[in-house]
Amino acid sequence: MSAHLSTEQLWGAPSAEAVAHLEGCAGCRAEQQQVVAARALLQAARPPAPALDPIAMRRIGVHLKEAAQEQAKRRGFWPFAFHPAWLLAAVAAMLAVVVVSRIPPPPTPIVRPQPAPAPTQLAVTPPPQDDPVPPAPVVEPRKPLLAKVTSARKAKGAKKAQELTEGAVVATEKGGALWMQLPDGSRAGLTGSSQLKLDNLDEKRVAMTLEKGSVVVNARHLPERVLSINAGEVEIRDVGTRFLVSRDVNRVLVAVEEGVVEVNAPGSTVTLKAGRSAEWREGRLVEAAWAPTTPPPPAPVKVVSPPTPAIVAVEPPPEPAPAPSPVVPTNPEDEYALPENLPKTTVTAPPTSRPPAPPPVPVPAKPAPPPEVVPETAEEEEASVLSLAGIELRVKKLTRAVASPFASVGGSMRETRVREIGRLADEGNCEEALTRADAWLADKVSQSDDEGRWRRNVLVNQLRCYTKLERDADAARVKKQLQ
Amino acid sequence: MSAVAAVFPFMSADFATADPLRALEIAARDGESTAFTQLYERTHQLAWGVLYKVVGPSSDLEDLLQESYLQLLKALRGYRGESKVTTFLHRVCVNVGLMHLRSKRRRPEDPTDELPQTEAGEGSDPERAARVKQAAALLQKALSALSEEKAAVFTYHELLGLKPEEIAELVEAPVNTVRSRLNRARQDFTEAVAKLGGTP
Repeated sequence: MSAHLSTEQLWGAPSAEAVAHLEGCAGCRAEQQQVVAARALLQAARPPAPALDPIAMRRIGVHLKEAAQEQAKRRGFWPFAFHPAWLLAAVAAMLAVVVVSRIPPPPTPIVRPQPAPAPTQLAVTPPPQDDPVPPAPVVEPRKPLLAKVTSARKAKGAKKAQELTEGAVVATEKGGALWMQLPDGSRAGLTGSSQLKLDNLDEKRVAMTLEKGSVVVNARHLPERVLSINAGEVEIRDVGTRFLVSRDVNRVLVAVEEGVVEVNAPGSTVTLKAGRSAEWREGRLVEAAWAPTTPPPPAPVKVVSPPTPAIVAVEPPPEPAPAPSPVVPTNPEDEYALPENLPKTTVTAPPTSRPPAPPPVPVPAKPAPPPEVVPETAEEEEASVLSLAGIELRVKKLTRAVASPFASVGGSMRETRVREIGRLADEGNCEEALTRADAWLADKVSQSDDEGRWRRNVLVNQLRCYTKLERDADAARVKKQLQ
Repeated sequence: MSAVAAVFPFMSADFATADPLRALEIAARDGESTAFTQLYERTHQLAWGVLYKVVGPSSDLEDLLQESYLQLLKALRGYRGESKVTTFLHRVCVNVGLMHLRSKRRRPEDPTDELPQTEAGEGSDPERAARVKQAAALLQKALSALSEEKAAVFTYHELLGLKPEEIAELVEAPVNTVRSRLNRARQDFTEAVAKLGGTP
């Protein structure tokens, strides 16, 4: 109440009743004295404010102007930065990033499979995104390099000592051969009727595409360099080795002489070691044994007229010779010993829309053209160690081994049994081969024009098995029949 | 032509003369540094007086004045124009002053913060100057002993002379609340002065 009485401003004029109470209450009077003293303190402590120093006023004004300008800059930026249009643009950009990240990247040229030549193969080709695409290796500036042809015979688009750039296509005619030195020191050799495209030649990556035929690669071990060959849907990458790639109409064969290669096919990846091979056919990658790295036995040679010391020719094989040959066995294929008990594993591709029955397999039934070796230089002498002719023969033998399970499709049963006998003989299962050969010979002769050729094949395989089993008398009997 | 009209010729004369500080405030809020400087030039005496009333004679007054306008510059963004610019400036200065007093209470005594002998123009009467100095020190201690809410309303009313209705607008509270809060603040202040032994 004393406070009320002392603050007329706050509560207005004190009432008469309050004044009367104050006169009769000693405590209230004491309290009022304190209030009055406090207000006097306020009056004494706060004399009128002095004027602000003009210099200080200007100094503060300059500082405040700078602060206002600084804030104006910030406020000028942030409203612009948080404009709704920018937010919409940011959301749209994020959506675009999400959409783009879900789109699979386009395949790089090194892994793009060549168009499959056979319609049946097209039907079973998995979508491209299923391809085991290796990462694009190069980001640094590329240094395109050159490949050099070291020897060429019956070659198209290349001659000896010619330098090849990226994109060059080299081909060989039937019976031709071509060796080239790749920029990394590796060597590649084309057999007859082959065609190879040089996709990429630089320090980091050497990539080629085998468009047809066979190529032998003797690769240097360079960890920083990737060497790959595309053959249709199959990609072969090596890590320092010697291997063979052969491409037919609807199959690709990879055989490893030394080292290790990686074979990437749609839905399947196989790492092949020396002595192993893999064949891609009808959407399946079939792994099998490969002939040992020993060179093929020397074939009987004759000097081609006019006699040229540098050119020798292998005697052409007798098949499909209508008349019996005086030499037994006449087919050079049959003289090349295959390892016995060929192991065989199958790497199955993921489920595809492959038709249930595979189409007829055009197995190269005809023998290889007469391979010719042209040892003109030291390089070719090295190449002769891995004879292209021998390679071709082994390719055919392996092809026959792999293709025999499919041979029954589209062919006559009698011919199929001939192929089966040959496969058993190749595998070294001579007892079974002989049993089936006897049964085949005892059956009724068909009216086919190929009956004579089939019979000769069966006899040749009989002779191989008798020789292998050291049944000399039977071998002599069959040899006599062949003659 | 007024300064506002010179700076903002697009504004009507009625608007500019109705509350020129309001026009400057709008311009300053929109990033016009020149407008803010003019607002300072027009209101710095008012702010200086408020700070002097709250803090008393102190060597920190100039810094507090600058700090008050910096706070005003930041607060203009949220200022909705519901009260006068001067009222808004009052509130900012009182808050800055009271904050200064509380921070001084927490800090150890600063010997450089002695009151100048001639600050209040009492140089001709040393005895009175000493009384003023003693009273100011006592007031600072008593004010810093109050709670934040009580100190604010006490300062608004007793030092700045604002009416309860104006205080209610500043502290955003009902008028009766302001009155009761002011009554309790006054009692607390009287007790604090008595406890400190200050009887001028």
